[in-house]
Amino acid sequence: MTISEWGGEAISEFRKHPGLTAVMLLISLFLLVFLVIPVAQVIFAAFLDTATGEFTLLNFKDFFNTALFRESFWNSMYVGGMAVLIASAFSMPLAYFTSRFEFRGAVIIQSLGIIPLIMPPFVGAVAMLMLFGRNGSVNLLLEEWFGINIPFMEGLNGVIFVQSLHYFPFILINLSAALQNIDRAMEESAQNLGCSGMRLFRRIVLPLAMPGYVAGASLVFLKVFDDLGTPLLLNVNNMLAPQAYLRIASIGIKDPMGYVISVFLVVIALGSMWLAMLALKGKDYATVQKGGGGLAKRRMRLWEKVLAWIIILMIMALVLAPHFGLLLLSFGSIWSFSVLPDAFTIKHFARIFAETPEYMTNTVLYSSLAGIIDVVLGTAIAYIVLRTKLVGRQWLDYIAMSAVAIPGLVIGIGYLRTFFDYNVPWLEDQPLATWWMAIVIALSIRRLPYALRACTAALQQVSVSLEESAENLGAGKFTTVRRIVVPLMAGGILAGFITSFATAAVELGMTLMLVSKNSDGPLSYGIYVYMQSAAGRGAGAALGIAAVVVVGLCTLFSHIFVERRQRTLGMGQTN
Amino acid sequence: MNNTLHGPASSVSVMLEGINLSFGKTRVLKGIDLQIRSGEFFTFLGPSGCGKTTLLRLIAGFESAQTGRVIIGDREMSYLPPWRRNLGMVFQSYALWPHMTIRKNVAFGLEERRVPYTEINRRVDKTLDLVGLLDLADRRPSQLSGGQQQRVALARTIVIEPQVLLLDEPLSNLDAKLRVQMRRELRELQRKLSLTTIFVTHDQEEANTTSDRIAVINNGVVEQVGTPMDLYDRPANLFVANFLGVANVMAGKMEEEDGKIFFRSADGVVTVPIAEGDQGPCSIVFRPQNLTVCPKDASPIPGTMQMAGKIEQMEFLGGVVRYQVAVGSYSLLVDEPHRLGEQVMPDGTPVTLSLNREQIITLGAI
Repeated sequence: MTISEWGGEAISEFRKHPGLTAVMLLISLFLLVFLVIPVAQVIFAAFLDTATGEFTLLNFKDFFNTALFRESFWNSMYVGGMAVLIASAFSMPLAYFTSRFEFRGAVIIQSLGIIPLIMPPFVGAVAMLMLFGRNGSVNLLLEEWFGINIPFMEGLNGVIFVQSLHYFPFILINLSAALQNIDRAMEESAQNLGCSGMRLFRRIVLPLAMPGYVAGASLVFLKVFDDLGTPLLLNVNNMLAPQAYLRIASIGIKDPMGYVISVFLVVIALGSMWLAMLALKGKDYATVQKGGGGLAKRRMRLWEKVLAWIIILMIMALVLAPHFGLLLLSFGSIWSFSVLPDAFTIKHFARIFAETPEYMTNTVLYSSLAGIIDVVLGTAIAYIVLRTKLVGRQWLDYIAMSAVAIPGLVIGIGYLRTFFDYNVPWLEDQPLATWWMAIVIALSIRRLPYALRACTAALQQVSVSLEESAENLGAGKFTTVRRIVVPLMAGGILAGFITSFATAAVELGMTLMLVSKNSDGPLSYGIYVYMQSAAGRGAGAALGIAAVVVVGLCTLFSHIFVERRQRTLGMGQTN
Repeated sequence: MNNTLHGPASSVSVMLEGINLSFGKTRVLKGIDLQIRSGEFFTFLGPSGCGKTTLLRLIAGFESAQTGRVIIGDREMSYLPPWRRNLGMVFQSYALWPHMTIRKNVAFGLEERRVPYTEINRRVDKTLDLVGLLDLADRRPSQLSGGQQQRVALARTIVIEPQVLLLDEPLSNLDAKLRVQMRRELRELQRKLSLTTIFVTHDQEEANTTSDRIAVINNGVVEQVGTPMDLYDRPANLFVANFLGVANVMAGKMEEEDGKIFFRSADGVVTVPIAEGDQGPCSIVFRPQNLTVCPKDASPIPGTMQMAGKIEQMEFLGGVVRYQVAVGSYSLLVDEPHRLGEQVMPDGTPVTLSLNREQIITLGAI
């Protein structure tokens, strides 16, 4: 096709969808201003000489020349790697059990998968400190019985411990799914040729499960590497994310180091995602054969059952430790240097409602707004990508999805840099960067990829003919979308909204950067503030419980809506 | 394909005694007794769900029977796990490991048997050469065609020199032409190696062209065992008669009159003198190609019995013209070879069917 032909087609498509073209331009503008420019600014700033404003690699040189930063870099890598390793170590035996044996405890293992995910790592961090710290419950007992003290939570160990407990179910689910997908004939043909037991697992099963595992593991590495909240709350500052925060918070946005670190965070994030994609590329090991997939399961002997239950109970105890600790902390009056709190009270809960209700009201406000923005954008982008041939629509999709690779911290820093000089028109002397709407927009950008995916999936279920018949009967594009498409997408849209909603309760990276006064903070911020002092821990824990409840309910509802959507699949085929 | 891998001495017989297998409450195999001779190409033939694959998997060790014994060679193997039985099984999906090259796939069994490294390479090369895939040895399974994958799966099993070769519908994933070619190659290979082979299929043409003997299985029961021609010409019951080829069946009873035995069809229209048989209800079976059809007034063919009828329908099958002829209450199928220039008889023509009495098969009551 020649350029002029292509140009002619593009123009006629614009003419065909004038309204949608305008929408596309608006969305592009939004993404440009609130995603692309701030991130670009951050990356460029890392290469700018602060004195002359010229391009330079000096900042990076300074970074590697400073012992603290070098240490932070390697610490972050170390913590990320170790968290993945330990999480995998927990997951392997459990995945092995569920895939190899007929084990009724498999249901428990599945639910083990959900529990850590409803509580973000930083929320449980302090509670874990109370339980496993040098003077925590477990060590006090160990001292009393055996005279030993295990440094579970010392320095980096604490971060690794909390993160691996939080992410191990993610790896478990990934690994289990990868194992389920293996064709039984793969295993049986190996058995036929003389292989069995652990050798079989090592030579055949594990390599076939590897791609799925690597994809999951690299995503966990990425999340641990970028996490700000957990190291901060555990007072571990010699890691990259806390360093970036501390530099900007104490020295200000002129400091180049914050930007240098941001570049590293983004590069690592992109690298991990690329690795995940690479691992899965072209390796469709899942085959469908009659007789069902999955490995042959056998009955367990009694001693095997006992062993399995013991291991599962131990792991369950660990997995529930942060939740348990959080509960104790929120209901405990005074708890220090003792195995359990001295007494129990509800005054922490009373306090959070009485003294600082704004943490919760802000959360609801920000979440709702961010959620609405996300589903509106998500639906619009999904519709433009799937239903039109407008030029550049794929780029809209890519850019919106790219937000998933940008750590929250980086977005926060980007907003500070980009918007600090501009004031909100109707509020005098209020820079745009510190206005609470900036938090809402940042949250919506961060969650847009997930909402977009939900909306795209929902739209793919709606057959084009349903729209065409409406248009045939006289309805214009917008009327059709309003009366036909959106109602049919409702389940998916709701799922997207709910996913976005849960974020404000638990996102800490960008929130810390953008909140200027305490009264603007959502739940996550409130938890952080309270946990700074020993006296506030109880209230912080109470807020933490509130956050867990919010996320838990949202996860539950989004599951229900996904189930319902799948049940009504008969309404339309995929395009 | 060239030199043999080993002499006939290493292949063995397979005996199944009194096998009963159930999955939960469902009885899948009912009282199976079979003897498969050493070096034989033996087929389990039957419709989907009849239990033939289950029987094969039982021999391989992937299923266990509630009662009965599996004896391979002279050893009872009923309780041995699959990895100790030294059998070679080719799965319907080939089950080639995608993360290994062809060479590694084929070498697997030898590695498990702790064969020295140099020996492994030698044998793998020899076997790959035997199946004609030596220059593809370093490719991955996904880079090979269906026919090539099937040969790799085969090579993988014969390189270990198993006692018995088990093939689970190995040709069903190939297109028609390739299937014909592959089954010939399979047969040739098996003869060269004199390897006891058990082949599972639902396709009677495959079974007929490759097997030394066939066991027809239906609903977990062995209906009949015999050579392909035996089963075709002398089916033991109606199922076998209908499964292998097309059959005309007439139900009726044997009667005696003047010391001679007659078969009288249920509607009384057809009577046939039968050489010998017990009185009572029975049925007779005869193949379409054994009937000859000619117009009513043509002179009868000597030595045959006649039946009067009318042509209902005609199917042109290329080499053969198949007439559906109404005789009494029956619709009989008659196959006439189609030769260039011969006229086809139109529907409605009154005709006479001739049948040689020796070509009638008598079966017990349906």
